[in-house]
Amino acid sequence: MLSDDNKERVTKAVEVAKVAAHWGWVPFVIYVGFVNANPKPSLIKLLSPLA
Amino acid sequence: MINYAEYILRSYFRATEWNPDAQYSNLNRASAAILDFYPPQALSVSLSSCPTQAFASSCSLSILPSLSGSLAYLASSIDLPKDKPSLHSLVHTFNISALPKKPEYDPSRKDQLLYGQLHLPSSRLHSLYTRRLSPQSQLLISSISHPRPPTREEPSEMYITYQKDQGNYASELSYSVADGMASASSLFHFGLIDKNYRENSESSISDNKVVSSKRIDEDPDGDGSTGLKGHFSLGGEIYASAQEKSAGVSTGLRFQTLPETQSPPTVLVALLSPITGYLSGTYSATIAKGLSVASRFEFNLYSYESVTTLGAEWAIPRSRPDEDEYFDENLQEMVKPHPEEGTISLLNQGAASLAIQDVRHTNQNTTTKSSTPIPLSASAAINENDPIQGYLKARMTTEKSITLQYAGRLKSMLVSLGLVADLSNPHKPVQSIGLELQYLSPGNEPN
Repeated sequence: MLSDDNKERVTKAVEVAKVAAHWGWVPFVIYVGFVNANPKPSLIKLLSPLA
Repeated sequence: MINYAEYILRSYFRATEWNPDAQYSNLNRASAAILDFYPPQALSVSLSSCPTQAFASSCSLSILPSLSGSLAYLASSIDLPKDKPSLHSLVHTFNISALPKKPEYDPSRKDQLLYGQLHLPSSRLHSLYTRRLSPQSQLLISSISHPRPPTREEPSEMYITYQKDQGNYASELSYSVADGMASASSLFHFGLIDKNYRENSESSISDNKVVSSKRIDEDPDGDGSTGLKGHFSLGGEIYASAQEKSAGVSTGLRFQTLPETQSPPTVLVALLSPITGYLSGTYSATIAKGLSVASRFEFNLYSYESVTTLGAEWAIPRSRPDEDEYFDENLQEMVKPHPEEGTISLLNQGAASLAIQDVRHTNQNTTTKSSTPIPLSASAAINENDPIQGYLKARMTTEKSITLQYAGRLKSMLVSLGLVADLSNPHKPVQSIGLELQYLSPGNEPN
């Protein structure tokens, strides 16, 4: 069984992971799109649909 | 009208030879295009771009009733088809889904697609990840997350789905993290499918189809049988949630005509959920050129409540100098007879939908390049040869609710107009009026 301290650490770690996934997902999608692109487009074309 | 991300997702499924309509969860998809469409309920503008063949971005702004927006990005590991989207592929329309067949995909390919949409100012995130695990299976993970701790009004959700398609049957395992709901479903296909496969494999697939003059009482398919030619799909689903202490089961039976016969496109679906007592029967068919109708009767065996929904969809054709062309509801394409050759050539290369994705269409599409393009001042990213000017949909229920939607094009924009009315409310009969404008930028992709 986990101690209360460890439970708290796990809960904290899960919360941090959730926040990281929430704000990191869109940059990760852009990164994957940039890495897969051949030839590489300019970053502004990748980021902005208006470009 | 579907958004650009959904269009790209469909293109991804087409590129990876995956048929989402084979699953039990899509049993009622054909009639849903007529009976369950969602008109725009606000004033919104969206702009989408495809800077590379495997990446798309989109931003949208909703002005009324409240100011909000979203930014979406989508990345795929496989190059998506370069054909310009037709109006037909950007609107949910009634059509016959492709015949179920076992996916024969390269086993070494583990293609994936990532999608993220960030809504502002709420910072809500919609995300999707799908990965092909094997030629016959794939994994989908979708979620809605909030930066703040989730509330009852704004719950965070995550769905994990494993899908398998073996051709004659498809199965799906799904788990919802938020409420601990697990479900398993299967859909078996039987009927005229095997016969159709044999005919396809035996007949040499040519670019053009021979049209012979037929008597009105002649069997259109020439195989001696009369009536609708179709196949059946029988499926069921069980679901249970330990957290909610609930469980259920549902079964469904569907009959639909084969996509490439002379039978008028017809889909009949019966659904039964014995535990909740829900029973529904749906009939949808194309009754005239470009005109499809659908009706659904829903009944609860325990409360005796019932709702009947009627709907219609009209594909408004573009006025053309050549009046011989007509819209083939089976092929979902504009076809033009050539009496001197006795053949049909396809004019619409972009209208090849998910429903029709076999080799014959690939071959037929090559013939369109010789067709005379129709001048059109539409967006450069939209197919110029689109034979459809717009789609008009209407739905009414016995609860005195009327819903109207027009989806079409205006200059270089895709336009969707919607109206929702509730005649049972004399003080406010018009519930909402919406307008959605969508522009597809070609990006730097060669077209």
